[in-house]
Amino acid sequence: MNDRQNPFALVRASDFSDSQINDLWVELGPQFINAVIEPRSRMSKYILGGKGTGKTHLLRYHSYQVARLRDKRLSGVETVERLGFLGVFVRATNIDAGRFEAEFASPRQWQQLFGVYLELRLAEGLLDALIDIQRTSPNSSFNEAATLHEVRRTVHGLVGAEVSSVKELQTWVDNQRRAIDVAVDNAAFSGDLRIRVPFPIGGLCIPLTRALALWNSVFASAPVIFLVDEVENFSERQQQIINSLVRYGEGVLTFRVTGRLYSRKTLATMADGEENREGSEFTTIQLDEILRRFERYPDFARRFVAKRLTAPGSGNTGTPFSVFDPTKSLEEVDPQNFFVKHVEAFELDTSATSHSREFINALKAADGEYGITPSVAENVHHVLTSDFPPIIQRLNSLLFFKKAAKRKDPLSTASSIAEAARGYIISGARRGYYANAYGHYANDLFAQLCRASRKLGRPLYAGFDCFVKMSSGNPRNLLICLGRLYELTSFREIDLSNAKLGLLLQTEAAAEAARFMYERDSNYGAAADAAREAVNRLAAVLRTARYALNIPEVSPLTVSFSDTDLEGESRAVLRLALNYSLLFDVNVGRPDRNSDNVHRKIQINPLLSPKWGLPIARRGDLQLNRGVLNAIFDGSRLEEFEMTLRLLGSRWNRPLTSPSNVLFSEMQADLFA
Amino acid sequence: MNDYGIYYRRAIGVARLDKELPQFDIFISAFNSSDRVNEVFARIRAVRKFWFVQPEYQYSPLDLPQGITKIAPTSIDEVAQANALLAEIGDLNGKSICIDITGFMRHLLAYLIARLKAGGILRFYALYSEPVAYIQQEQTAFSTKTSGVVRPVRGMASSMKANAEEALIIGVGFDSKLISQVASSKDAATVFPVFAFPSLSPDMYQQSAVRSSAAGDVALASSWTSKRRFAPANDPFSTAGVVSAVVRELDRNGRDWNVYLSPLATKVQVLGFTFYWLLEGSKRTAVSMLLPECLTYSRETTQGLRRLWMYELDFT
Repeated sequence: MNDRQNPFALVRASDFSDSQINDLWVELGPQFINAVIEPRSRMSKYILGGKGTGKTHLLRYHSYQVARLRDKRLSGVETVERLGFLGVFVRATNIDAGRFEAEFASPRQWQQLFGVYLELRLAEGLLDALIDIQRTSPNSSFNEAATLHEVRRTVHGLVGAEVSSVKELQTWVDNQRRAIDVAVDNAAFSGDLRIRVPFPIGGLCIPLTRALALWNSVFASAPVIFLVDEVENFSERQQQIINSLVRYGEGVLTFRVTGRLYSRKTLATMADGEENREGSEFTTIQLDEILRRFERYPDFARRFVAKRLTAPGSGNTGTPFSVFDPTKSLEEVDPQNFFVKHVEAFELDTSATSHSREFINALKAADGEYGITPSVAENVHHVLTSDFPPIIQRLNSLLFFKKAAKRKDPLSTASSIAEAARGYIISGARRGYYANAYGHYANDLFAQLCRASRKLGRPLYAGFDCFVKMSSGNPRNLLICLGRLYELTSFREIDLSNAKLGLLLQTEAAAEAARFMYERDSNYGAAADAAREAVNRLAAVLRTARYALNIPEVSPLTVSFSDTDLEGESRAVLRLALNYSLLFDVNVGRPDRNSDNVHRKIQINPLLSPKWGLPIARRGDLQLNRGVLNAIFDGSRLEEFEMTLRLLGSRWNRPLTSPSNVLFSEMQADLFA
Repeated sequence: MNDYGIYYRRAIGVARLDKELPQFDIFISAFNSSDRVNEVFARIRAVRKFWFVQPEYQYSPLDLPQGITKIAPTSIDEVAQANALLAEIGDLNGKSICIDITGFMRHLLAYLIARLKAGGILRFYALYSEPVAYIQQEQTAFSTKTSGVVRPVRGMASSMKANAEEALIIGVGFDSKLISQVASSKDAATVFPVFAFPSLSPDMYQQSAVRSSAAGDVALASSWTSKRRFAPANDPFSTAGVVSAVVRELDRNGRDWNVYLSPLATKVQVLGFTFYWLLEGSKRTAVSMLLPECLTYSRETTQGLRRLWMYELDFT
């Protein structure tokens, strides 16, 4: 067994040391990064994104502690001067904010106490950086007295305290924080929350930050930015504190706050006060969307992988790709000559019989409509499938369903399709309706062949580009795929230095990656469970569409619907599914054909696609009406959903059967189930 | 360092349960539908017996046994639950107390023990009944719904050090979702998984290993095996000793550590982690008991009663 450490292991930015953050930083380009973090803007900003979009990495990279290590020859003052700002990194999870929400004190008391505690933590981080700046800048002068004079004006707890330096202020802050820790613990046993807060909210960080220009002149032009990571760990009331500091920070308190897509629970300030407004008090940027649209992402992904392969501990240091280069070592699906290579290798034509049976049954179910009698059905099938490659047989069948309802003579329709197919096979034309149809449906039909094959039983997911697409701009998702692949090869003792990894192995890794994300990587309690189940139902609809005789939309991975159709529970669950990155919002909605309503469009995260055999790239979108939409997203409508799914399946597999007959047969199925 | 080997523990023959155990002044048990909990409650000798009804089990009044004193709070907060329990029982001083820990929720169990100690109860007995099997082996679901919030047990958060490294000591049981939630909440921490071994029965270790491997990132990290520790599933004092050893190991390496303890396996393990916290962790500071909030919990997860254990918790 290969005992080399998996270079694609899911190491999070929070696991890295400060120096490793610098080592593993893959430059997306300074322009890109600056646009995201805007380090010199005095306006606070929310940076929202899914797990693995690099939020923690981004913040830590801009923190003073990490920036200092990039050029150790510089003094602390020079580092701040070069950066143009001082970044103070604070992780919300370290605060254990759940302590400040117990039943034995009022919500108002807890909010006040949390506000003071948060400021103490922010000040701790800032003072830590200041002490390092002072220590490493022997040639600079620091006016401690003027700074502390400013701070004493609002921090009444400093009255009588012997604090005459930044270092002593740090000790005082630490003691105050510990006093709150102890008081909160004790109150759980005594039922009495006794603590005298040493300053009002805003009373420490605002004067301290403002006074820094007195401390050293470098801060006259370099603002302090508090980098608060994972704000979803704060409750609504606790987030009101951040909002208040943003609003009343008097231009000196600036934040970059990261969190999940819907981590922001409120825009209100303390005590349900005024709401902060986008553009006035803060701005917001969504990383997922930016990364998904980032045109150079494939190139970024290659460099990201290269960094991983040469990172310390990988065993590959200094020899990029010498052991395993996923950009070159992965076999890809070959679509040449109607996928003939794979048709032979995986015996994809063995499903022809069952497909024929389904197709003829679907024609016979028309029950004489459109001129299709049982004998015509057999003839139509013969014309559409004889002497054609398996994928063309399926495409011909599909096209027949698309056209049959509009024409009167089924045999002439079939002949015309067969003729176009022959022309396309001979000429290889890139234009014309048949070429277009092939371009649209080839991947879905190939997936159908693979799924129907006894040798495969599922569609193929292979090639570095496939994994890049599955990752949708999220480097962590790429690591999940490559990590699973590496583990499989390691377990099977495949020599990576020479091997070209085959399609089956890669498909297995893709399925493992999907399973990992669905079952193991999204456990955040009941809310996440509800979101996952809804996505499972949505995927069942899309899978039914993709593997239908009459595929209703090309590469169905996306659905669209009117936002006004979402009912209460469905809206909440959809939001959760987006928050946990199980789904993505596709920003550009399309107008409803019958009204001016703008449709919302959402897609399943393609990392999950292998779980249900769905495509990894979206093309068409399936329109959902109100009933179907809410049956999917409202978990209490399970029976309604199951009925809906069966009806959709019948409609897409019996396209020439009248809806009333479909309904009747479904009711019968229910009776005898 | 505390010597955890000296604490009293003994196995009780199930058939002679009522004879081998002394009569207590007060006996408290958390009601659920498991055979093992009900059998012990019925047969133990005590002047006063109390059923505590955890709201997480979602019993309706009709589901509950009649004719016994029941305390059934509605809050899932452990302070409110303990308040309700202790208010009903009244003065505990000078009384012999026995608690069957088998059916208690983890948050309440840890807090209740700390609360008793804080209230001057320095010696009491705990019972734990081993099942014959879990009803669906490794597929058994325990917590059925969690809030998604992972927080310190009330009063057991401790004061953490600024700029310290984080260590998360997880008691590994069957509930992979809970492991995943705790590990995600402390994603910068170095994880030390403590597996229950020897397990209650030979197959249970294997089952917990299988289940826990589905815990997401944390179970894929190399530290899941390289930092793995073992503590007997039915011995809280040995478990406390293992936790103590891990923390000492951390303290020897010259860096500052904030330590989070998250016992997610048997209630015996919760008892062991709590015992360590009370005897050593709370004095060290920067040691916090951390658990995911459970909203609902399975009423019946086991079959039968294999063996009963009695532990004496002595804080004198």
